[in-house]
Amino acid sequence: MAGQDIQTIKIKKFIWGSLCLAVSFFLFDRLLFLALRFGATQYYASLKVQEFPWRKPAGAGIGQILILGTSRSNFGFDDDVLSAALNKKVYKEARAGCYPQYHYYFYRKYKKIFRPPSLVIYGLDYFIFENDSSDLNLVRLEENVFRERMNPRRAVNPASPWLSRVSWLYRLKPKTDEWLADLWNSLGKPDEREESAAKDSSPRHALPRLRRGRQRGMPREVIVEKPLSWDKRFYNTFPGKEGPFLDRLLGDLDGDGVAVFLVFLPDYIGSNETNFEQEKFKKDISRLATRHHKVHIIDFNTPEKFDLNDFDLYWNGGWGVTNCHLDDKGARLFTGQLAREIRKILKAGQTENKPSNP
Amino acid sequence: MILLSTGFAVFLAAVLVLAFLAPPRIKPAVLLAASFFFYGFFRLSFLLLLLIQIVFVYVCARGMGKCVGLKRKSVLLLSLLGVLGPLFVLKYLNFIIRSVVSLFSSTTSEKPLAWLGLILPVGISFYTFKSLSYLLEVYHGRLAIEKNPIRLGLYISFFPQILAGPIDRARNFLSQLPSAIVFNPAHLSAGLKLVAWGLFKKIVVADQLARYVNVVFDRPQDFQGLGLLAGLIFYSFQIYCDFSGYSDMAVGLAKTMGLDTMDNFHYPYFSRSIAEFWGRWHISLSSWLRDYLFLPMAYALSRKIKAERFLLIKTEFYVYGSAMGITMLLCGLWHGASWTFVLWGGLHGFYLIVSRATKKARSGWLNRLHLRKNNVFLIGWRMLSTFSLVSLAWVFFRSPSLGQAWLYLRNISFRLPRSGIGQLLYLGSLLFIFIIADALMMSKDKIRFLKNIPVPVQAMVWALFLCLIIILAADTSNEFLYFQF
Repeated sequence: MAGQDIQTIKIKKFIWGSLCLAVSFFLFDRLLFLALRFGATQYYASLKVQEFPWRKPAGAGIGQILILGTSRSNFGFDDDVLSAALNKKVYKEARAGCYPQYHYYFYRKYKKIFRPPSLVIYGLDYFIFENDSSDLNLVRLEENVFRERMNPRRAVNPASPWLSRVSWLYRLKPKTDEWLADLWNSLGKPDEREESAAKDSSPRHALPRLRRGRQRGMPREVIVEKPLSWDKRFYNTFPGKEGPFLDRLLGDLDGDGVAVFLVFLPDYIGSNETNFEQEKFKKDISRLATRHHKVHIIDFNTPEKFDLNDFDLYWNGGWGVTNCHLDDKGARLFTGQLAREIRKILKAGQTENKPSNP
Repeated sequence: MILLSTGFAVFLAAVLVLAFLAPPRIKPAVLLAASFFFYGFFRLSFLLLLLIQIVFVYVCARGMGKCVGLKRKSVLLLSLLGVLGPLFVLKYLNFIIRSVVSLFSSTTSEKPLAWLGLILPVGISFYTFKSLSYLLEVYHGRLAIEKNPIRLGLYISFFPQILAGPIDRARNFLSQLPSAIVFNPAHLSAGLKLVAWGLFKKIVVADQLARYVNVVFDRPQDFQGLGLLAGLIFYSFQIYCDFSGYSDMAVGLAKTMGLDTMDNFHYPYFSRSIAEFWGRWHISLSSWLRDYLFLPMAYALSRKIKAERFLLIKTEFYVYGSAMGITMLLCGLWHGASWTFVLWGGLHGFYLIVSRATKKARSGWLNRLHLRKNNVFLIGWRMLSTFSLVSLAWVFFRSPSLGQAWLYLRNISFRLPRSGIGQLLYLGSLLFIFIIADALMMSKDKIRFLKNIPVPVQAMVWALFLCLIIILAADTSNEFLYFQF
């Protein structure tokens, strides 16, 4: 009897403790979230004081080509080759962590600074609808975007939609992580030896890599031996995270009468076999393009158009690597072929590569 | 199944409900099925190997029970070979072939047997050692033969322990089945608290430290000065928080079911000597090695050597030195098939032997200096020197090759870093808070104030702690370091 009483008391205590834990968790979760959001907003607002780093377009010629994309486009398109082949200046805005939302805001700013370009080349990535643009880049273009992104009502943490319902902190954990990572990077990096630090900051390593998409001096990292098994990457379908912004960007370009070339960049064969749902990806892009005029799709990620087996043309990639980049040689070859294709399309004014036949 | 996932949380909740509701006789079967389900999630072939080992161990132990004398010894040898065989082939064969070939040729393949497509099953070192422990206990008659294959299977494959221990003893585990598996709010709450603490150690402290550690250890040639020394200290705590975090979670998970398993860590960085460190670090492995390797070897050697002294030194010291040296070299090899691990084990063996050899001399110095053993400064000095020696050895444990380890040590200096001070300060503060929390945990039973906190306040503290885990959990998706062993 006494034992039973003790057990009942223990259970009651446990239930009472659990209830207190649940209520406290609910309150702390909301309060800490609001505090974090305030801190993050303040942090990014302080970055806004820096002016957007506009650059001088590369090359010479009449009119301007605007290249948009991620690091793959940065590495893949050779500005000089393109400029010489099409006789136009080239402005490239392609960097890691920049996806359609970034490009959409960028274009709005760009046309105010310059004017609508003659044509836009948009480098497509298999994971284009999978990721968010980085906040650090985005806040330089659009002031209120971070607050919008930290709105708990719309957010879901894909790692666990169930836990997302319980906790705001967990729901916006990816955003918090991004902020904390930016803070972490702002703390500097470990003390490097003078030779290594000098190597990183030399002009050969710094500017050209970003501006011209070169990767001279970086070791090649292509996995050329096919393993027995490797991680395959599912395709994240449109609209995904930022798909609607691509649609809006194409709409704006349509309105400005700009010809757009959506380009599938070549991937090394190993990366192609990793990104195994290419057909779905191409269909999505094709469907998106049909909604707009003057949008052309050029697919270089096929063996008919480009050598996908020659590892000498790639800087990285391979089985298990989803994010593949061309190297200098590959970029020159690819951009030359692309320029010829664009010239042909522009000259003919034909629609043989219209989205219906990607 | 990933341990840090909502999938695992749902799995655990289902297992707890089923285990609590099941009739006592069925409880072990429920947990065994859950363990197979959990382990099979990694790869079905891994599960098949585990099943074969369980059946083999069961049959061998029963066989041993029916034999005596030499026959019994033969069965034991056969069973040891059978249990160690898969571990040897899957973990060490590539290493041995590579090492032998490299003696005769300058070019060797990293994995000479890659064409066989062999993959090291996760947790194989842990469940193999559990099986060995059971067989040796049965052989020496210290444990009754387990007649129920389900109970034995559960001991070997118990899901909280299968991936990275603790290497629990059969006697402790089997004696609790099935009576301990009952719903007890106190056990449930204590177990969940331990899981949360382990989670904090792993995904907050260890994974945050990993961000710095990985950078400096991957390219030691590019860094210099105190930054490398800080990287080494951070790694010492990273591996501690990573492994002890997992162990806390494993012990906590077992506790939620009502099962008490052996502790694997007891605040090892508060040790005052290397010998004490090994009594507090990976306790389940170090006690295993002591019981089944060091002591039998030392007894066997001392029986063989009759003389009391050799070259003016007591033979007892030779016995200790050789048994300890071999034990620690094998301890290193257990962690991985690489010379860096062997050297790590060897270095610890060297520390222990030197420590033993100089014990009397050190006591003499203390007496001459009139220092008592409980002198605070002396305690602090001993802790610091033990930590330094342990950290030095970690360089070999963490580095991918001996060359890299040497490069790392060579580049350490006391030059102040010119950059990255912010990162050092941040991680230093995190570590400081953790060390204070760890010290509090160590002496929580002695602090009366901690015992008398009302339930709502306790709940608030834990709620805040959970929120902090969510915020500070590093976005690295790092696997537990000890899963690779």
